[in-house]
Amino acid sequence: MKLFRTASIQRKQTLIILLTAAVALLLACAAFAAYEVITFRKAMLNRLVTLGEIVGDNSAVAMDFNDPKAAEETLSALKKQPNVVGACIYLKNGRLFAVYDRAGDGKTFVSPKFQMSGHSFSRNDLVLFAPIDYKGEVIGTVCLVSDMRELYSRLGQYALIVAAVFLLAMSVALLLSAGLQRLISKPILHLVQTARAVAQDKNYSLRAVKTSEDELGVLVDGFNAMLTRVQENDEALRTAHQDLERRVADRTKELASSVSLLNATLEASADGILVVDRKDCVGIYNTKLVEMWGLPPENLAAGGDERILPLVVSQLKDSEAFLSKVRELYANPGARSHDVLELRDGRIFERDSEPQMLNGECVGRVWSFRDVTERKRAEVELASSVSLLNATLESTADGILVVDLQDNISGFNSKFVEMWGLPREKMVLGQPDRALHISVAQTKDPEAFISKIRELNEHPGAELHDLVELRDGRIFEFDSQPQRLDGECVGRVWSFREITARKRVEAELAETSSLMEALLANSLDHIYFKDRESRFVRCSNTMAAKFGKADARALEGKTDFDFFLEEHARPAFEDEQEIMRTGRPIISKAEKETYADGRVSWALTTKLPWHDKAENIIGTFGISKDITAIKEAEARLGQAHKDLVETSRQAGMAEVATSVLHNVGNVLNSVNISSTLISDKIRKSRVGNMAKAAALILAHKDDLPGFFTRDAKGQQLPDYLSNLAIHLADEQEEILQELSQLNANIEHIKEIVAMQQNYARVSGILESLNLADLIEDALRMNAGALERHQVRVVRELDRTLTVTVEKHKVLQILVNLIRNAKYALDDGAPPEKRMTLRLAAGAGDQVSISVIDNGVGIPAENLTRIFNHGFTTRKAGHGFGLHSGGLAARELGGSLTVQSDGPGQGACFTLEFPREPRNKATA
Amino acid sequence: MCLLLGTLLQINWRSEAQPPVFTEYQVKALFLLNFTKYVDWPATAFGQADSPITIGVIGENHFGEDLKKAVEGKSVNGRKIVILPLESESDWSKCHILFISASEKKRLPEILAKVCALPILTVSETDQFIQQGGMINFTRKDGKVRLEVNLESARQAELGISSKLLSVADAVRRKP
Repeated sequence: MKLFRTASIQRKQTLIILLTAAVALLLACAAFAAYEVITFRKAMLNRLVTLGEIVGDNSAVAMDFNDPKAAEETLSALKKQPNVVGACIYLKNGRLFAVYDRAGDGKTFVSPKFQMSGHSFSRNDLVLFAPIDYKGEVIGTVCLVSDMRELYSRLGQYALIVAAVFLLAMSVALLLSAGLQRLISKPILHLVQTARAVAQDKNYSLRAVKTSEDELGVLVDGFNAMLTRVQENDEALRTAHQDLERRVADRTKELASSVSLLNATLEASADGILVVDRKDCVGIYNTKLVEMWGLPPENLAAGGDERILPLVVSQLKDSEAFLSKVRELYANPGARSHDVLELRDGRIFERDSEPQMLNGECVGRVWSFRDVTERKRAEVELASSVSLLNATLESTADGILVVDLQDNISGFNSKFVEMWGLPREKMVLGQPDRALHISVAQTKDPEAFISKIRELNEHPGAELHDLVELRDGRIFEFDSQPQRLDGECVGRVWSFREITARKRVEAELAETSSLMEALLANSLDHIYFKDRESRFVRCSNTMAAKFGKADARALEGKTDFDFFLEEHARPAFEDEQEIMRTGRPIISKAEKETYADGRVSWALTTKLPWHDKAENIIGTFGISKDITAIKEAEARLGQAHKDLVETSRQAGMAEVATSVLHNVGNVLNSVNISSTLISDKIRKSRVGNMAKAAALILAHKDDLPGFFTRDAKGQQLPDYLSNLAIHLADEQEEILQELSQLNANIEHIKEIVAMQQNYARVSGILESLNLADLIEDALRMNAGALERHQVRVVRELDRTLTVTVEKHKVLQILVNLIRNAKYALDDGAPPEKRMTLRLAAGAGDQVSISVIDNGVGIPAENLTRIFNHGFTTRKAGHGFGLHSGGLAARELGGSLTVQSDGPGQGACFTLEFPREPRNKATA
Repeated sequence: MCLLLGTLLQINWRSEAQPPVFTEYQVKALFLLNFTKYVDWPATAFGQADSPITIGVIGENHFGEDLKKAVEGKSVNGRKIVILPLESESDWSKCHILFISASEKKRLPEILAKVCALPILTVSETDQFIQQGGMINFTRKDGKVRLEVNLESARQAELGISSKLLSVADAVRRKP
């Protein structure tokens, strides 16, 4: 590359042309070669594919008939193809079937890995797999391997041709460029020679000759114009130079006199002074400077400040800052600076730098140094103590005001201003203090506050600690202390602290506490707090009273175990431990409490975890309500319910009994009639006549034959007796008849009583019975009433149905339903009073008994209430009937339902129950 | 992972490359099937353009299921290949290829006389089959099944046997 830079333009041109030609030529040749390789490979593949198809076709039969030898013979025909180095045939399953190896040494050709079809080029060979397809069936694959010798020999020929063409083309290009490049290079060479001549001889009158009108022509014109300008400037410069030399000589004289004056002044100065000129050369310095910096005078004597600068810099703490300042000042010659330098030995210099001006122009710089070490140290100490004071003042939470004895403000902090809401502008140090006076106006009792201030002012050494309340409700605590300096009182320090929040919290705490105390003292519920060991911490008075203690404090430190039996205390303790472990409360738990003295009470308890401010569980607290009374009431209610059920059952029995008595009454009527009849008959009996006859006979005992024959009475007596005998026989017959009627009636009563006893006695005993018979019994019990009210009873009874039930329950229900129907018929008074009793098998194993009337009916709103206890529409009704009927049906495992289309539409009550009790154990 | 897969595939490939061991009759079944590709029947031998080529076996059938398995689903020139169970001699003429088992050696002249005029390729595995007028005979040589072909008999039956088939036959009889 260096060679190219130094070569002449002539040579460069030739090189560029040749290089361009060569690259173009090579690119073209490369493209042709690539194209040739691609087409040649394609042709090669095509040839090999054709060959593969021929070989495959010819080998098919050998494969079909498993004759590898025949296949190898076919393959050996490939000898005529010089580029095929080997071939082989694979069966469909990849098994090698036949091999052809041109060289026969087994090295140049190794049968490639089986593949059904495809081809691959490598550097030295082309491998083709062609599937063998005979009559539409693929039976294997032939693999042909061809070498690339043909391609490479072709490429060799191309290389020779390319080389020959290249050489020829380059020779022609060289000849052409040698002639043509002179058109450019000749005018340039001429220009170069002219420029060289001007530079050597400084002869600006020379001019270049223009030969063409192209860019080179413009270049020559430009060159000549430039030479003309240079010639003019050269002459002007020479004149000015001579004028300047004269003026310098004049000024030098003036300068010498002022310099001597300056030197004397410099030595007299307490500062170290150094003057440097614009070229950084040390101009003037004084002895003080040498002393301050400890500079060897010989370094200062001559030349640039670079000799002393390292000496100065080496003594500085922050040499970088110094150097950058120096550089900055040199860069701005007009700037001045004042700064402070710290030296490594601890000294501190003030440095002043002023530009040295001459006729309004900067000609140099004056540096003056002053040793201010002592002054600086005193300043730093002062600043540090002041800042410490200020920081302390500002960081305190109190508002602080300091006044001197003349009441001028000598110090305050912003907290003070903020607390009293003072205008900043009035707070000026050294000014008379208005602050306290403004403050006074804000207090609730200004008079008192002012008198306190006055008193303090009269006694400068006094101290005061007090509270002051403000109109806006804030409360300040304040301290007033004398300020002393060397034991002398010089002022007064006021410090105020706002304690409003604290006071409020105290008040709130007191209120909360009193609320809490009131709650604990008066709550009817038992309230208690327990620590982590379930020991009482606080509790309500009721709680203490519950344990027989007058004072709630007496429970502190005690536990449930001290008052209750283990039976209650243990689970309660575990509940509390669980709450503390999980943080989950127990809400409204009913607990039975057993006391050590054997008392028992019930409590509804809610227990919660007790958290401290940091949300740690520190125990539990709870509220429990004594619900013993409620529990007892509950028990009573349960008993009442049980009694009620019993009563209802008995009421059912009573209804049955009423029917029975009614029937008995009916029969008794007949009995009564019979007995009256009999007694009438006996009373009217002529048995007495028998006695008269007997007396008559007795009276004539001595002359009975005469009596019977002669006495008129005696003669009639035998007829009379025989008539009497006949009459008495008739009478006896009549009485006997009446007696048998009486007997029959009494039998009837016995039956009724027996039936009632039957139903009354058997309770809870299951019997197998015919339901139709039971219904007949029920009807019979109401027979008299039904007859009396002219109710036509229609029976639609399936007389085959038998069930196993508690007989009296079913009977009780039926009697009730029949009676209700009768009342309904009475109330409704339809033209024909009809009551239908229907017995049929229901769904599943159910039986269904319906009592249907065409009586008064039931309004829809009553349908839902009709089974309620105490519900009745009759004046004399007690509302037990249907209620107990419904209960009884449920006890049977069945149901009693009602259906009515409304008033006047009649009603249908249906009793359904299973044929066999569902659960015999409980039935 | 790839390495493992590669190894598996390689193992798989190797197991497939194991030369399958065919029984003698499996080979013969395949050969019977392959004959259909190298023998041309006259058009009169088929009812329709896609009538199947039928193969029948006379005598003891040593193929078992092999022959059926070999031809199952195969077709040549659009014709399916089917096995025809022979119930009577009249069934013979329905076959395109008749395989006469070695058990029928004694009946050979009789059988051949009946079918020689029909376009039926007769195949057997009996000595002197070719000489007696049969068309293709299976022989065994070096443990391999080889073929003998009687071109003349085939020509008389108007069957064209491809010269390719002849290239794998051991003996070819051209003229009686």
